[in-house]
Amino acid sequence: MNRPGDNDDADAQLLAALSEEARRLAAADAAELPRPGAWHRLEQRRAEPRRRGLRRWATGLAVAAASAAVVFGLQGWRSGRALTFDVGGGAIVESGYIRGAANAGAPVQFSDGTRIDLAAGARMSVVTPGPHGARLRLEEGAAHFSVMHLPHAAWSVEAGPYLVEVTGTVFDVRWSSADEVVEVRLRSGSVQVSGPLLSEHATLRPGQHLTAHLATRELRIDENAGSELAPALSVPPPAAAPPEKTAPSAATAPSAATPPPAPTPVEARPSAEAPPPAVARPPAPARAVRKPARAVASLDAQALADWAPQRWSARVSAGDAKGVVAEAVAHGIDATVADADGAALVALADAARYAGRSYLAERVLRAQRTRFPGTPAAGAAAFFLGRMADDRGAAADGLDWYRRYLTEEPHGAYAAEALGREMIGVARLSGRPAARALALEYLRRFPDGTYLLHARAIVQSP
Amino acid sequence: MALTSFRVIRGVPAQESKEPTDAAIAEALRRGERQAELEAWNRFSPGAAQTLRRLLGPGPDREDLLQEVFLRFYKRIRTLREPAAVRSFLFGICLRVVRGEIANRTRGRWLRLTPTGETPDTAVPGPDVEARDTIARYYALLDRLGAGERSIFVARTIERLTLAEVAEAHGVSISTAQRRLARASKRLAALVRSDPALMRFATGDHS
Repeated sequence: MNRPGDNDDADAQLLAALSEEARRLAAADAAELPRPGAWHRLEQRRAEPRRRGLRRWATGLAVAAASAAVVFGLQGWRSGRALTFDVGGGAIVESGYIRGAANAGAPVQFSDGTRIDLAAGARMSVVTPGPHGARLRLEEGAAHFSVMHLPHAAWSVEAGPYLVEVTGTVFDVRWSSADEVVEVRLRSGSVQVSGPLLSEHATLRPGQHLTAHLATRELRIDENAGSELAPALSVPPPAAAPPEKTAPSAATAPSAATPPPAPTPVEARPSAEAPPPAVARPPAPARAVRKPARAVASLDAQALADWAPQRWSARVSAGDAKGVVAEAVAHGIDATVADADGAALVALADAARYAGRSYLAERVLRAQRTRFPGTPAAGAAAFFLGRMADDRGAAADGLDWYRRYLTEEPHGAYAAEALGREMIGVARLSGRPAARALALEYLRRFPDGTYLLHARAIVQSP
Repeated sequence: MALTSFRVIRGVPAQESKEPTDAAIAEALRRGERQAELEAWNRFSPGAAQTLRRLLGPGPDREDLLQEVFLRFYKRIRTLREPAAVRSFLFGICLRVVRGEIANRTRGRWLRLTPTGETPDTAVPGPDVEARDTIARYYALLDRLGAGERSIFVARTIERLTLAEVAEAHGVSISTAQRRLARASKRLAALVRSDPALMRFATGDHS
C-alpha cells in the first residue's frame, strides 16, 4: 500500500518529466525567434492607431463623443482630432508621403500653425499625426521646421537612424541616405537629438549645428551655425533650390490665434534670421573654413595608419569585422568603394554586415553590383541585399532582390536559401496558393533543404 | 531579483564587453531615449520569445504576443523602480500577457471555432512529432487549471523560477504561492494519470 508521500513523489516525477520535455521543445521552437523584421513590425504596430481598443469601446466612445459635442460644442470636440495639413508647391501627397517637386520647395502647413518647408527634391512622411503634433520622417533631403509652441505640443522628426524631438522651435534638418549624413541646425527653442554615435541624447541650443557622418563615425556640434563661417553643408542637395525661395522664420510663422495662411512657397517673405540651409540659399563651398567644433565622436586614429584591403578577407574570417570596417572608414568610404578590388569589397560587405553596419553594408553591396556586374560576387550581393531588406521588414524589396539573384545565379551558393526565402515571402505577401509553384520547385531542387517543412506545408495547403 | 531562467541568448555577458548593462538600458528607457528601445529589443526579445513559448506551449509563432509584451514594456518602463530588475519586470509582463491570452482562448472556445475566429493555416510540422503531440496534450490539461494556478505552476516547473520569484511575479506571498502550486500539481497529476498517452510518455514507456 502506498503512503501519501510516495504518491506525491510519483506525481512530482510525472510532472517533472513532462515539464522538462516542454522546456526542451520550447527551446527548439523559439531558437530562431524573434523572426527577421519583427522589430520593424513592432514599430509599425506602434505607429498604428489603437484599433483594437477603439473597436472594443467604439460604442461607448461614440456616445461620449456625441455627448461631448453637445455639451462643449463642436470646437471642443475638434480639439481632440489629429492635426490636418495642406501641401503646396506642386508636391505629390500619397497617404502621408510627401514628395516635393524636383526643382521647387514645398510648404506643408499644419492646422495648428506649424509649418514645414521642404527643400527642392526632399521627401517626407507624416507617419502619425496626432492632436498635438505628429511623427515625421524625413526620407531624403532638407527641410525647415517652424513648430508652434503650444501646450502639450509633441513633434518628432526621424532622419535616418536619428530622432529629433521638439516642442516648439525653429530648426532645419537634412538627411542623405546615400552619404549617411544627418544635420540638425537649431534656430530657436530647443531640440533633443538621439541616435548612433550619441551615447545619450544631445540637447541643442539655438545657433548650434549637429552633423553626424555615419560612414566615418564622426559627429560634430558646431557653435554659431548661423554665421557665414559655419561649416558648409557637406550633403549635396537633391536639387539646387532657387535662391529667391526663402523659408519663413519663426517671426513669419502664423500664431495659434490666427488662421494659418494658405501655403505660398514661391511668394514667401525673406527671413529676418540667418537663412536656413539649402532651403534658403545655395550650398556653400564644399570645404569652407570651419569654426572650432565639439567633436563628440571620431574615428580611430590607429586605423588611419593601416590600409591593407588584401588582408580583409582573412581578418573577417578571423573575426575582426570591426577592425576591417574601421580601416575602411579611416581610408574614406567613397575612396574605399572606388579603389578596393572585388575580393576586398566582398570582405568589407561581410564585415559591415557582421558589425551591424547595415547602411555601410548596403552601400558596399550596391557598389559590388555596379563595379563588377555579371560576376558571382555581384549576384551574391543581390542575395544579401534581399536578406537585409527582408530583415528590416521590406518584404517586397527582398523578393525583388532574391529574384534577381536567382536569375543571375540560378545555381549559385545561395540559390536554396534565396528560393526558400522567396517562397516564404510570396506566401506571406500573397498567400500560400501563390507560393505553391515555388514550393514545388523548392521540393524538386532541394529535397533536403532547410525550408523543406515550409515547402511541404505550402504544398499541402488547401 | 535576478531570474536565472530568463537568459540572454545573443551577445556576450555585459561585464566582458562594452555593451550597456541591463540596468543601463532600463535607465535609458526611463529617460525616454528612443535608441534604447531598439537596444532593449535586441537584448531582451529572444529571452521574452522563449518565455512566451514556455508559458504557452507548442503552436504557431505568436509574434503578436511578443509585440504586446514590448508595447506594454515600453509604456510602463517608467514605473520600474529598480533598473537592475528589468528582466523580472519584463517577465511579469509576459506572465500577464499570457494569462490574458489564456483567458481569451477559454472565452473564445464558447464563441468561435478558433482562438482568433479565422481559419488557421495548415500548421508547419516540426520534428519530434510524437513529443509535440504529447506536450500539446499536456498544455491542454494545464489549460484546465484556473488561469492563476496554471500561471503559478508553469512559472515554477517549466519556467523554473524559485518559489520567491513566482510569488513576487504573481503578487502573492510565498506561502500562498506554495499552496496554489501544491493544489495545481495534485490536480494536474490526476489529469495526467487519466491520460494513457501522457502516462506512457512520462514514465518512459514508448512501446
